[in-house]
Amino acid sequence: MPNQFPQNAWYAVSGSPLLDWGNIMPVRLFDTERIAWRDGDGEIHVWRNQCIHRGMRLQYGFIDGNRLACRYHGWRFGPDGKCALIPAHPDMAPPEDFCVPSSPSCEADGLIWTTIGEPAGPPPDLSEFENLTFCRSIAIDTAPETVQAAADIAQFVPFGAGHTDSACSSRRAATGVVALETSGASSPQAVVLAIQPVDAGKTQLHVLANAQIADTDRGALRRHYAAWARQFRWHIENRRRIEAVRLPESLPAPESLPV
Amino acid sequence: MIHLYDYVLSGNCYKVRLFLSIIGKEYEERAVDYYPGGEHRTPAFLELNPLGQIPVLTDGAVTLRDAQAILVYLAGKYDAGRSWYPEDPETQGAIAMWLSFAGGELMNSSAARLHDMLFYDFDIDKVRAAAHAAFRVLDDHLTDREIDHGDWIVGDNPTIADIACFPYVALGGDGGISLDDYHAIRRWMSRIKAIPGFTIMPGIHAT
Amino acid sequence: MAKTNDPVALNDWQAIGNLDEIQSGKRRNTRLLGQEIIVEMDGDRPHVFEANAAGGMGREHPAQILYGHIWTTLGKPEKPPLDMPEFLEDKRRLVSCGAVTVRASALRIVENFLDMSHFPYVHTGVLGEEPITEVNDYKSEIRQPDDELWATECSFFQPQAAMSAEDGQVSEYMYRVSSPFVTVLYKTCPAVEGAWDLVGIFVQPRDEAVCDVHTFMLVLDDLSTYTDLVHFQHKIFLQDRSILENQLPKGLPLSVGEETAVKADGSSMLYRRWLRQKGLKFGTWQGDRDSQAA
Repeated sequence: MPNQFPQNAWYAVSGSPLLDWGNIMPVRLFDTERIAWRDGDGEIHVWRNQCIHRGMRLQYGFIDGNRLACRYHGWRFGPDGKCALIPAHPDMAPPEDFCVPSSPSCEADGLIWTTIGEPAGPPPDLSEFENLTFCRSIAIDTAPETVQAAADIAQFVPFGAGHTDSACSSRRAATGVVALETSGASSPQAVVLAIQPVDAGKTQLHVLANAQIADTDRGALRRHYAAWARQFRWHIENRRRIEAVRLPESLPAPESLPV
Repeated sequence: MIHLYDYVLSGNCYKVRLFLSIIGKEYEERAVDYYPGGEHRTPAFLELNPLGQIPVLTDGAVTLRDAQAILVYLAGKYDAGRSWYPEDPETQGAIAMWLSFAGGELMNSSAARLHDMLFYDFDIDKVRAAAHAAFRVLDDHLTDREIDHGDWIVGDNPTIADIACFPYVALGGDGGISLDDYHAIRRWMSRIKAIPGFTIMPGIHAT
Repeated sequence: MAKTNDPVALNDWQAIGNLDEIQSGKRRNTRLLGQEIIVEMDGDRPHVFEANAAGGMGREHPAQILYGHIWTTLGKPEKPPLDMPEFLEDKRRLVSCGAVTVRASALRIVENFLDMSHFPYVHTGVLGEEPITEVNDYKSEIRQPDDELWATECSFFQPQAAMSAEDGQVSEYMYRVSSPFVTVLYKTCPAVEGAWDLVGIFVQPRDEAVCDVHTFMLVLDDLSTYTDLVHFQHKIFLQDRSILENQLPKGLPLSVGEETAVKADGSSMLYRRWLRQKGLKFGTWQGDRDSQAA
C-alpha cells in the first residue's frame, strides 16, 4: 500500500488565527521538531527548534519586535534566520553563517503549511472550498493512518437549523486532506480535515468548515464543529468500531432518561 | 501584615505570591524548609496546618490553608474592583468549579513534578496520563472560550480561577508533561503573563 | 541502560547523596553511571554496593564521606576528589541543598554552571539583567599537575548577587572543574571584603541523560537563615533546570563546529577540549550534526 503520508509533501501545522505575533508555536512533524512564528510584517517562518549556540529549544524563546530571541543567552535572530545580536558581545556583528536552519512554509486557505522534505509543487489547493472557516486544531493520540481511516467513513450533522439527516460522503481532497460533504442540494456544507502526522502514535487534526453563513453565525458554526471534533477524537481514541457514526451526538432529552 | 508560609519552588505557594503581586498587596514571607528539611511535617507546623501542607496564610486573626481558599479570601478582602472574584452566584459557581479542578485534577501535574525533581514516590505513568487528561479538559474549554472571543477561564476578565489553574499547567514540563499539544493553553498562558504585576517562579518563563 | 563501560567516567569519584539524606534512610537505593547501587551506613562508615539482579547487595565499592556528602567510585580513580580547604574554615557554613533530578547530561549541567552569558536571561533580576549583558574577557586554563580547569578574572554586574546582597554589585568569579562531573565557583563575598563564597555542584550521573545534582555552598554569611540560603540556591538551580532539560542534542557535542561558539564561551570550549583529550564518551553526543533535532 503506498505511503499515505509521504515526507516530501506539504502538511498543515496550524490554523492561521492560532499563530499571532508574539507566539512561538512548537510544531512536530514526522517526529521532528520545528517552530513556527510570525514576524512584524505578518510573514510566517518555520525553523528548526534548536538554537545554533547551545541547542536550546527555540520554542521557549521570546519575540522581540521583528526578531526571535533564544531564552538561554538572548541571541536574537531576524526573519531570515540570521543571528542579529549576541548580548554577550553586543558590539560585535555576528558572522553571516550564524543562521538557524529553516523549512519552506506558506500560509493559504486559513492554514499554515510546511514540509520536512522537498515537495514537487505548492501546498494542496483548497480553493474549491469557497467559504472556509477555521474551527479548531485538535491533538489525537493515534497514528495518522488511523485518523485518516476514521475520516474516510466519518459523518457529521451540518451546522444550522433545519438539518436533520443529511447523507454525507467523504473523499481525499489532497495528500493528508479529507473532505466530508453533505449531498443535500440546499446550502451544502463540508468539513475539511487537514491531517498533520506528528509521529507514529499522534496526529494533529486541523478542522475547517466550508459553509455559506452570516458573519454573526460564525462563532456558533465554530462551536458546532469544535464539538464534532471532540467527539470524533473520542471515537477514534476509544477504539469504537470505526463505523459511520453520526456526530456531534447530543444527550437524550431529560424526559426520556431511564428512571 | 499578611504572612505567607512559603517555599520558593511550590506551585501552590506561587498561586498566592502571584495574586498578591498582581493586586499589589504587601506581605512577609516565612520560608518553610520544605525540601530537604521536611519542616512542613514537624509538630510546630502541624499546629498551623494539620494537613502539613503549604501555603498557609495569616492575616491578623485569620489563618487559612489551601491556595484556592486563600485566593478566595484575598480577592474578597482586597480587590476593591470585585473583578477577581465577582459577587454574582453564577460566576462564583463557575469559579468554584475551576478552583476545585485546580486543587484536584491539576494536582497530577504537581505529583509528576515532585516525582521527577525531588524523588517523591508516585506512579509516574498514571499521574502523567491524568495530568494530560486534565490539560486536555482545560485546553478544550479555552478553545471554546476563544471561539466566543473570551480570553479567560470564566468571564470577560481574569479571575482567581485563572490564577489557581495557571501554575501547575505552566510547570507541566518540570514533570515531563509537554504542553505542545495544547495550543489554547499556551495562548492563555501568554495572556496571563501580560497581566501587570505578573511575576515568575523557577520553571516558568517571563513571556 | 546497564553500567557504562567508559573508563574515564568509571575511574573517578562521584557524590551520591548528602549525609542527612543517607543517614535518615531517605536515600538508599540510587543509580550511578547506569548501575543500580545501594548505600548503607555502618555507624559513621558508608558502604556502597552494586545492586544485584535480585535487588540485594552485590559487589562493594570504595566509599568515603567528604564535604557532607557520600562519595563512591565504580572504578579505580587516579586522583582523589577535589581539595577544598575552605571547608575547614571556622566561620564558613556548609549549606547542603539536597539532590535535584535533572533530565540532562552531566556535561551539559557542568557547562551551564561555568557560563555567565545566561545570567540576564535565565536568572533575570538576580544574577544579571538587560541591558548589562556583556561578558568581559576572562582567562581559562588547565592547571597541572592537578589536571583541573580554571576560569579566572571573570566578572559580571548582578542585581542581587547573593542572599545577603542588598544592592547590585559587580561580582567577581572564579570557576573550577576538578573532574568531568564536579565544579565549584568562587564569587565575591558580600559579607566579607576580599573573601570568596563558594557554590558548587557534585553531579551524580544516573544515566547519560539523567542526573542527580547535589548543590552545596560554603559561605561566610551569618545573617541569612539556613532555609533562606537553601531557597535562594533552589531558585537559581531550578531556573537552570528548565533550560538544561530543553537542550538538544542531549549529549554534549565535543567536536569544534558542532555548535556555534563565541569568545564568552571560552571556558565551555576548553571544557569540551579537555573532555575530548580525556577520551570521555559518557554523556557526549555521538551522532552527526544534521540529525540533532532532525
